[in-house]
Amino acid sequence: MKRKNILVLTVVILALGLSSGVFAQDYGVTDVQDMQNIMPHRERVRIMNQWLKWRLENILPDLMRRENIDMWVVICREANEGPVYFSLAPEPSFYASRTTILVFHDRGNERGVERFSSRSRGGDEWYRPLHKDRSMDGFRQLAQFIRDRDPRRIGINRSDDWSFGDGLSAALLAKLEEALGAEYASRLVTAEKLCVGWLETRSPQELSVYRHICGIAHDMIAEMFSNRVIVPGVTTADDVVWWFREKVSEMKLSTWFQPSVSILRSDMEAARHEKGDRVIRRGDLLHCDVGIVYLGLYTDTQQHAYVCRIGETDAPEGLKEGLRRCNRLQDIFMREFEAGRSGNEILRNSLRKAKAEGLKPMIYTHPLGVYGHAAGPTIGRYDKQDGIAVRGDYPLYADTCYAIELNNRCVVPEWGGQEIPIMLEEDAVFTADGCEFLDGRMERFYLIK
Amino acid sequence: MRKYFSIGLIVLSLSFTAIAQEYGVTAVRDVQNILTVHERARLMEGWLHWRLDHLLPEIMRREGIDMWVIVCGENNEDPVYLTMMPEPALMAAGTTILVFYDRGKELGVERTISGAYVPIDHLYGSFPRSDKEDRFERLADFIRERDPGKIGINISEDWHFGDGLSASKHKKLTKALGPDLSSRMVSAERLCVGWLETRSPQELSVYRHIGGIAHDMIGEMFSNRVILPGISTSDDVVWWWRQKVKDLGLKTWFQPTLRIQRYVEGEGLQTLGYGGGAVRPEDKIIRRGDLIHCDVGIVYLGLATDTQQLAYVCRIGEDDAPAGLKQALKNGNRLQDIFMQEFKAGRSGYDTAKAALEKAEAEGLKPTIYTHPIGFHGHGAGPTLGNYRRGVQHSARADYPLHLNTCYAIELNNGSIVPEWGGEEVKIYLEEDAAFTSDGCRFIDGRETELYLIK
Repeated sequence: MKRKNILVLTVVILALGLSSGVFAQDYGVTDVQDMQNIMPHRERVRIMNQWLKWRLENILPDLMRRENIDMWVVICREANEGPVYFSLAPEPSFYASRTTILVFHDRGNERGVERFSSRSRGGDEWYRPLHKDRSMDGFRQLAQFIRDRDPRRIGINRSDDWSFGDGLSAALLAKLEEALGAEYASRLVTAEKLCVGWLETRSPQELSVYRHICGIAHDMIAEMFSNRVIVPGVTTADDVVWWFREKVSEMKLSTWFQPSVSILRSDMEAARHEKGDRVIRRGDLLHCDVGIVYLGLYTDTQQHAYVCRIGETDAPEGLKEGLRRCNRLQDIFMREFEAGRSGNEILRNSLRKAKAEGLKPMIYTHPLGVYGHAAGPTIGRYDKQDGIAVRGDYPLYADTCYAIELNNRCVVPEWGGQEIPIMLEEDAVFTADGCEFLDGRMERFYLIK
Repeated sequence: MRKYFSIGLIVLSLSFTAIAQEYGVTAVRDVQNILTVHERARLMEGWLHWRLDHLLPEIMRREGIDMWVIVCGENNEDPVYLTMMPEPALMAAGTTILVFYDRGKELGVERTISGAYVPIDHLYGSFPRSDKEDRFERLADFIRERDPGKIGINISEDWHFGDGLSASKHKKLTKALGPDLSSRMVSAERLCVGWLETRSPQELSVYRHIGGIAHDMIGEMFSNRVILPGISTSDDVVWWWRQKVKDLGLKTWFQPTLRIQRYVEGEGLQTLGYGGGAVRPEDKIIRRGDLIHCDVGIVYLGLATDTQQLAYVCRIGEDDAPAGLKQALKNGNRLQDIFMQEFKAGRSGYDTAKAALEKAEAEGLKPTIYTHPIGFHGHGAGPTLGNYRRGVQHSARADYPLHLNTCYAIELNNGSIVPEWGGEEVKIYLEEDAAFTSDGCRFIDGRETELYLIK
């Protein structure tokens, strides 16, 4: 008996090996390309600095004028750099040295925005020296510099509403106000929207390469949601979580949140296992929420995989229909993206239209870019489907990116009419051409055999 | 056949050891024992739990703070916040509030958090449910109920590690707490510094291994595996380090540097190799006869290293560095010994560095000391012991005392006359990581006493 079994198994393994090319397509493992094209570190820094140079020269002046700020003063300290400092500093940059002051002064269209840094000693293309006398107190010199240039509106990073615009510490603000004196201190305004605009706006170069970065994330999910990583009945959801963390490290990338892998299981099937069972089992629908950071840009993706029962070659029709409906929700939602519209308006319109089509939607989409939960309009939150104060009122600007995060509930006849959410998250860019996925989306489940 | 093969292997491995020693590549051990990301997270979480249970109460009492309130924003985290959270946390969850309330020796420190993206119930309790929408008002209720004497908040002019509270959050906090509770607010700067600088027994034990990984990596870097005299540039070596750090799944906290000291007959001593785009590419090539010096670091298991070591690039026919350079290194080692013997609990950074400089000068050395604490951060929290440019001066950070169970990057240099280099004064730059405990100040993984040799 035993011997016979082994023989059969050998034959099966041989057959599997021979037909793996066919399986690859069938099971959703796409051709791996982006993942095998990760740059060495030295090259990454060169690219990122080219981008930064372009951003400083082309994006920053526009935004300072849009937000009506004549001079932007960014003050931070080592190990306490605040949310925008690193996005302004050329690589390699690991920390702000002691107290670092950056000043951006708009001299109008012709002369452009002049850039100064308290750490600069001159001689480079990035920042001119802010301090003439290095022995003198930095804040006194800054005050003198500001008086000399006499700007009307001086933006500082202080904000009640935006974490991204709130990098200035209480102690540093007190020092700044003291050094400036009453008259100039009265010209201080919040630079919160400049911070948000600077962080959310993507350059053409960044947008072009963002496709590749999302492609890497998609390649990694394809590998994760395959039998290379998952053996049904053996592998746990936590094994998969840590596989992803390890993979990120092996590929010399980084991540910005602990990935999650969850199991959706029919009630009938769940009754056969212990409560809280984390072993991936046949008939399960898996769901992942994973992200990477590469070249300073973040990804955030949720996709599903179905774990085939023996003999099955596809997911049950009810689940597939659920995915189609969720794809439909993505379409409805993304068509509502229009420049100048607020996040809350897009949310309301989309939910109304989706419900009118008989969908059961939830939308909780966030900006994506230099951070994962990035600067820009928040469009719904998991616990707030009727809109969000301040961050939901912020308007949509062109050349910004979003993690299109949402779910749609569907009834699965094959699971005894049980209702489950199909939860998707895909990264998209909003330009003058509308809202488009950066690297496509999931339209068919990954299948784990 | 088989027998011969084994003997051949033994001969090979024996001679490999000999070569390895000769060329300065030490036996690689620590670098081949890096934990998986999952194992690291588990280990660090255990360390954090112990630190919260054992270190935090002691330091809160030492600094006389009854309640410590940390408020920070997502993507705008306070410098201590991430050292208070288990590794998978990676960031704050929206506006995040941590409260540590000392209920005395028996009940210990109560730990409460407003929310997180990862499960942390085993480390923190959550705030009681409340009808109030505003989280600052909920916090005020929570504090009022406990009625603490001194409330520490992270505002500091002198210590950036104690200055994590933003201007707008400070205003919101003061408004919600009202005048009575607000008047009890004090700077938690010394609590921040104490928490960051103090190492647990577990951390101290494993720090040796982390220092060993950094030393192993230098062993590889300062060998012909990486450096070809006449071809390799200082930039190549720097980027080799950056890439190697990534390849090993580690991190670093500063851009490494490689400097070249070169004696040219008739031109004297030159310092080359460093200075970004301003330096001509041909001046960055490492050549025979050079003394090269690296400044490199890693971060592993949440702890940073910072190391400066030297290598001599042999001329054809040479199999060792000139005696004058070797003596210069010995003098640098002597300065390390003198300095580290001055470490005494309670002594300020200023006094420690000053005393060491005086003793070293009395012995005829030409010392400069610019040592900094190291730990969670490379430029860590704790006393400053001298400054590269300004020398030993008083300041809040220099006057801070040495506490036990803290670590330092023993960074210094000593100038020595090198007869073979035309009697020029050559500076030997050294930096090695050390722990200060009740046993005194000791290197965590030894130090360089012989120059690496590149053939």
